[in-house]
Amino acid sequence: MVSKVEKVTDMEPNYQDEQQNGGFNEEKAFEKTRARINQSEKNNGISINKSMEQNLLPTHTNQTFLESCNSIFRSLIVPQDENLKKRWFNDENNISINELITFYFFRSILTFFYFMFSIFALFEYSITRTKIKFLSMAYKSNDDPSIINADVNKLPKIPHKLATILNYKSEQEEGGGIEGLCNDGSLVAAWCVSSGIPHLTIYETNGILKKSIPEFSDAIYKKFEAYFGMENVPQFMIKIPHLNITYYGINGGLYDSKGNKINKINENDNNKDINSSGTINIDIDNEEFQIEINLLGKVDGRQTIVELTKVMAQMVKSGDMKKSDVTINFIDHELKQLVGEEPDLIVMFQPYLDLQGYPPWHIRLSEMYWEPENDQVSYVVFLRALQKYSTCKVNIGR
Amino acid sequence: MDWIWTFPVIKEIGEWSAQLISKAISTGSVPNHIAFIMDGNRTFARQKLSGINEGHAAGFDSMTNILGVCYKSGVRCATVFAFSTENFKRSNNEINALMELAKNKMKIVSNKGELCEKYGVKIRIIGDLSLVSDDVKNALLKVEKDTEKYNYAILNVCFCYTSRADIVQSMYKNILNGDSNNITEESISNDMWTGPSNCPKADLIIRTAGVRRLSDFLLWEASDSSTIEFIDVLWPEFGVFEMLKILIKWPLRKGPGIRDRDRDSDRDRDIYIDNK
Repeated sequence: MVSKVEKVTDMEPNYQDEQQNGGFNEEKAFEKTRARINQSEKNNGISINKSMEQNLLPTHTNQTFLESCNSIFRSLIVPQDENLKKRWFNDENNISINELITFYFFRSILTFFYFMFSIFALFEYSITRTKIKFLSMAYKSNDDPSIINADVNKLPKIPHKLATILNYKSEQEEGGGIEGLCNDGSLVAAWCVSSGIPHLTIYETNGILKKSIPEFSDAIYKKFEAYFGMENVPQFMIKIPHLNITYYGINGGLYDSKGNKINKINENDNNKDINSSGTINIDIDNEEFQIEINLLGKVDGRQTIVELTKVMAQMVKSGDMKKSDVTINFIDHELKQLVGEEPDLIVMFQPYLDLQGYPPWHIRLSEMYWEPENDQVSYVVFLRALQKYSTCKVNIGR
Repeated sequence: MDWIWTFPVIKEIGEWSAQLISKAISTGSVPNHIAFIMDGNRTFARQKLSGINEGHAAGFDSMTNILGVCYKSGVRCATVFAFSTENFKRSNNEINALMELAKNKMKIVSNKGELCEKYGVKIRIIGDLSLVSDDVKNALLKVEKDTEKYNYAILNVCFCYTSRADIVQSMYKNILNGDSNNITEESISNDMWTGPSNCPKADLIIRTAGVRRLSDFLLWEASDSSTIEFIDVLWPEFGVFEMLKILIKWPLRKGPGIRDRDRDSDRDRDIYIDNK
């Protein structure tokens, strides 16, 4: 058994072997998968837009307390559930009075419990809301990186890669719409730069941020300017892994990977580049970036794994790949290229834990944090997430 | 509060009321499938100043109690994370003790009059059994065979399991089927060890000991459709009444498990109306 134990633990050497053997296949598999995902996204583009219009509400339900109570009590009166009927009645069509009486006896006990718990939940809700309010008064960032830095420096460790799940809110709401989403994203980015976290992944189920890069980079630039001053705006990198596109935000301009300027972010920037109007080239390799922002959406989750499987099935069929190459290490390597690295910490700015289809492969050891009953992107949640993370010990299996 | 249970009649009253409450819960809506990450056995042992093996044994007793309550309340399927492939990194002593424990206790569970017979539970062993020694493997497979005849509920025991391995084996099965056009999200979900073709979809994942991580357990389900509950109590201290509290709160709480259930029932209703 001891030898087997070693087989499990020694992943690294295996992994390197594989890279040497299957290097050619690997590249091919992941290029093909990426192409397929993009294709399918293009095909689905119209339908996605349509469904988005219907689904402009955030994915977490905004049912008020009374509404959810109402639906529970309503469903209590009549047993409709098939499983439940099976559980309680021998013959569904011919329910005896005795059976019905015992059923309603027990149901009344349950109703009583629901009643008690609802009252309790109401208390709990108001207490947590007050707590969050007090906390956000106690911890304020004041848009000042030095305060954030001082808060974070007290912590024994911080995550290297941070992911956050943001929710698109309808435009009628305060802080909603694309503008609100961009603002939320840029806030988190600014906090990350202030606390020295170099990798940020922003997950938004519908992938709206990916489609509004100009607005988003604009928001980031403005936020950075407000935080760090006009003179030293941090340079940033925006990556969309499944399209394999990287944008670079340098000195108020947005550049693509060849160093061509695609968009000017800042209007004060006019005097410098006005003559060159989009032709000025910057050598990307010589630039340093304070933060790398990855944008993910639902496509990067299960769908990517499905497409990868399809590509591998084709390659196995055509003989480009051996069946025995389908291993955890190989797939891990492919998915790292397609989606990115696994985050150390996932911060959710929503009232309850809901991963909303976050890439399943990438949540293996990620710490999760959310603040109950909170639905704002606020600095307290960010800081408390980091504080919680700094105390936890990851001991894989040990 | 533990001292209360040492009085003679109190224990019986406690058991009786737990039965009553779980019967009451079964009249309402309950999750179909609950998964447990049983964390905190060793911390418990350290706090009680006993050996690690005693900690694991206490954890096992806690497991049987909790499972009993769940099945009694109408849960159709439970999954327990008994041993991760990563756990092979632990000391040899501990691994051997865990193997022995698994072998003996699983046998006890499947005995006459115990959990399996009482609630009609079929045990499925999930994971890569080629990693363990033959006697453990045979013992586990025998338990699986002995309980095959029961069909009311399911207990998935994850042994040498990691969720990534599960995803990969499902992908592998799909690749072997050959036709890449037939590969969809459903087909991969179906071929998972914990997929819908084997047991109902996991509605609720519970992790004890205050750790807010999944540690390679049910990643596929957790990312999309399961509600995850993190509890600060250590697993051996996780009592029947805490479990009942979670079950009662289940329809009141918010999470993807609930959201999907509502959506499914809405869809069912729509179909029903269409047929009319």
